[in-house]
Amino acid sequence: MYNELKADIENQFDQASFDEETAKYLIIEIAPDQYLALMENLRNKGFDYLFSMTGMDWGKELGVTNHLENTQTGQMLMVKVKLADRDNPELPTIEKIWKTAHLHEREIYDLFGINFKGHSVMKRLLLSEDWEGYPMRKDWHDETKMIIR
Amino acid sequence: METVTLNSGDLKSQEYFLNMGPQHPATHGVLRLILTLDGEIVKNIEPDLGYIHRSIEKQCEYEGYKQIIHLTDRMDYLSAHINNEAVALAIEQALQIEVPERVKVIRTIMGELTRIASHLLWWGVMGMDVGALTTFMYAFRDREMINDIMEETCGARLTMSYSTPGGVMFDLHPNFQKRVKAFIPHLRKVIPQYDELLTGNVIFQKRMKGIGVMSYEDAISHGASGPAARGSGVSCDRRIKDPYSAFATKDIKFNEVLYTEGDNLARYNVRMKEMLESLNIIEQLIDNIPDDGIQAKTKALIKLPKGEYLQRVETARGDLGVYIVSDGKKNPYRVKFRSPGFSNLNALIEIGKGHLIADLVAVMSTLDFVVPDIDR
Amino acid sequence: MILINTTNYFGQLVAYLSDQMGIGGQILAYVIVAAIYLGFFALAGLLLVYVERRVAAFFQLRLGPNRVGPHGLFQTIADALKLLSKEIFGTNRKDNLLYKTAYYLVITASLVSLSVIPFTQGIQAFDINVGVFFISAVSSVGVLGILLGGWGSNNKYSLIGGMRSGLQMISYELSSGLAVITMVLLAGTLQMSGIIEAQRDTWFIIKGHIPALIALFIFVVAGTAESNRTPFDLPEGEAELGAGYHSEYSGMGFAYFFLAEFINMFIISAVGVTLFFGGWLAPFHLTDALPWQPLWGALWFFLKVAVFIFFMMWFRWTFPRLRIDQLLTLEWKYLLPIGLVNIILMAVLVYYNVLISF
Repeated sequence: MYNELKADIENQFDQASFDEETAKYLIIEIAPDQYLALMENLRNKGFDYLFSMTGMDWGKELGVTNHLENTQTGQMLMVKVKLADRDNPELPTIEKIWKTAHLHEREIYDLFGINFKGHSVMKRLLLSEDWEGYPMRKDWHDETKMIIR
Repeated sequence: METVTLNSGDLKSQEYFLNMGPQHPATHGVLRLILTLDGEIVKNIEPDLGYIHRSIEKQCEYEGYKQIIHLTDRMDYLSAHINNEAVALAIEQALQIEVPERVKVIRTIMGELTRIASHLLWWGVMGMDVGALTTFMYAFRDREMINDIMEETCGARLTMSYSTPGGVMFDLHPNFQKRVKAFIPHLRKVIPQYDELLTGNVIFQKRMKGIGVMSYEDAISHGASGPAARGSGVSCDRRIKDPYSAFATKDIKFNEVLYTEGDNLARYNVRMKEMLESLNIIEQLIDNIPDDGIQAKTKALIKLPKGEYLQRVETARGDLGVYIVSDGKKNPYRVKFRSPGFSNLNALIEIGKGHLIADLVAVMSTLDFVVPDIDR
Repeated sequence: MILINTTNYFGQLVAYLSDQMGIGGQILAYVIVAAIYLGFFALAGLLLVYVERRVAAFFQLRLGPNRVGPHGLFQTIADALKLLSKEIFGTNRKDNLLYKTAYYLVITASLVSLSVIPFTQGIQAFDINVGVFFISAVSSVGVLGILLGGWGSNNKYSLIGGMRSGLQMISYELSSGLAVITMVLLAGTLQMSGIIEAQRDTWFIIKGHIPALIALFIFVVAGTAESNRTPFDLPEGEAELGAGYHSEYSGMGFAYFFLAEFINMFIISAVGVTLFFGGWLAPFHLTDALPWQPLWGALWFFLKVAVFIFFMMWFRWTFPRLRIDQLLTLEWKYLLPIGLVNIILMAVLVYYNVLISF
């Protein structure tokens, strides 16, 4: 089902790797500098529905996991991008490709501190402006606000 | 005496900010919108969320899988059962448990009842938002019947936590079938009354038609789902696209309600018709609920194998995604709830622009936000 | 011009007391009359709030207030006591003078309009020869109060509510004025008692037939709009503006606005009854031969007003709200032209005497 797509992406993006551990959909892992190009490419291939953007903290790297869907064929994709720089993580925005990314990226910025370059309103969304730190990161601890059993 | 001549260019109007919410009757909870207004025309909308943010995703990282279900009730509290079901399905998918047929049917019936209850509440509040105050009481009278059914079986009226990984908490109450069968003809009778009260009203029609138009492409690009997207003609019902529970195993016939206008009235009509479709689904299932137990065998301490699992279900508001990343421990490594309201709110930012405040309120209520669902 | 020669009990009281006690007696009489009106104002306001709540409950599958007193009759009195005892507070940056003037203007306007309404034969504080005109003039002052309240609260929601109210009431004043003029053509006088007297044989709604029906329709729509009730409750619009122009008022400040709304509803109904349905006259001369004429008159008057008010409440609890542009479209594009044509139609009918009369 995904073979053609996979070959196509492999040809165009040398820094893409694949993971087929879950048979239900294709998982593409991409380097940050080819991220925007891949997303634009996928949009042109008919993946018009950005289902969700998930901020991730893999311990060492931060990153974003995007779920994409083709509303015509029902195909689903997962695009992972990992950022090694924890202090100053940056990614290009995909707000202009899928409008829904507008709020999703703000949420990820708020909770993970990933800065989306070119986003129209890169401000905190859920937390207050004067909040310090990014609470969804694994290394975030707060003695008073968190109860850990 | 000095004469002052005023040219039309000398008189300038000024845009101003209006803080709508977090305490505002039309925002249904604690949604805050910062509006830029020119007179009464909305020029820009900036949502400010987080007034009911409880960081459910972070909490999940410190809870066992069975506990997570109880947190999901508190997200979209109007589709509480469907949220529970989504998590249970994700866990079952990861553990590759085959749940009994009875569980699937019960979950589906409960899910559809929840959907009707949610749409009823929406209808009542929708009327209030456009100034027809009586709708609220009518809708609540009928929603109460569903709540009673829920209470009898689940022990709770709103946050049921009825699904568990591998099954459901309790078996159905002996009265369940009788009550549901009494409810179906009742709702079939009252929905035409609803139409007489609100839908057919000329003022209501004029307020709804052509307002808040979301095109097909925009709906997809905004990630809109559920009735909000189906009003724009996007076929996105997860119950058909990737069936789960009884939709997968039983041959249930129902139509996906689609309207192509994309305006308030279309979204309104979708929800009104969806209630009847849900009744059809329940009617097909209620008479032959299989009898093969209510719980598959699960371990007391659930550990998901390492991997990533995604489960999408159709809540009353749209496409809910539960994305679990597991590293094999008893807690999930990361849980993401992709809530339908969050993406639908994104649509509001664009389709609410250029309308009057009164229309913005109407658009907001046809998109049907539940704020805890947006904030999580 | 029809000459009116009815007894006015208030006039008689003033004459009697000033005869007995000179200027002091005259002032005393005025105070008594004013006290009667204030008492009526408060009572009618409270009763109407109670009725509204019961009617609303009836439409909404509820019971409404039924605990305090017989059938919950004292509920609104208890509410009024609560409002009286509440602290009055507003925003810090309000314009104090305007903020506090606002509700007095609103309440005074509706209280003054009450004075020319003939409740029954001879019960009318002023029977001036421009009665109807006086009512529409005085009730316009109420708009000023709402505008001041909206502006003085220094709250954007109040301001929007106040401006909407200004737009709405000034527009609909025109239509209700035109509807009144249409009926005045039939009566030939602006005096309230004269208008009623002219209907002794045939009520104007029948006498004026088609144009009168059109005028009634316009009057009801414009009247509902003027009293800021659903479907024209945009100045309040609780789903949009919180509470609109009275968001920042508490305690009695709020209660004045609230009472004024109900009294305005009463006034509009009373004017409507006077203009179209013969005021306190009995239908078909049913009770004309009986003794205690003023009492029977009062009964018929309040019955008719009650029906009118019930209809206005019915609108409120079943209709959704209009949008501001739809509201103005309805007024300027439909009601106003129809009203103008209707006047000409009525004038022609009156001139050629194509009227129904018994």
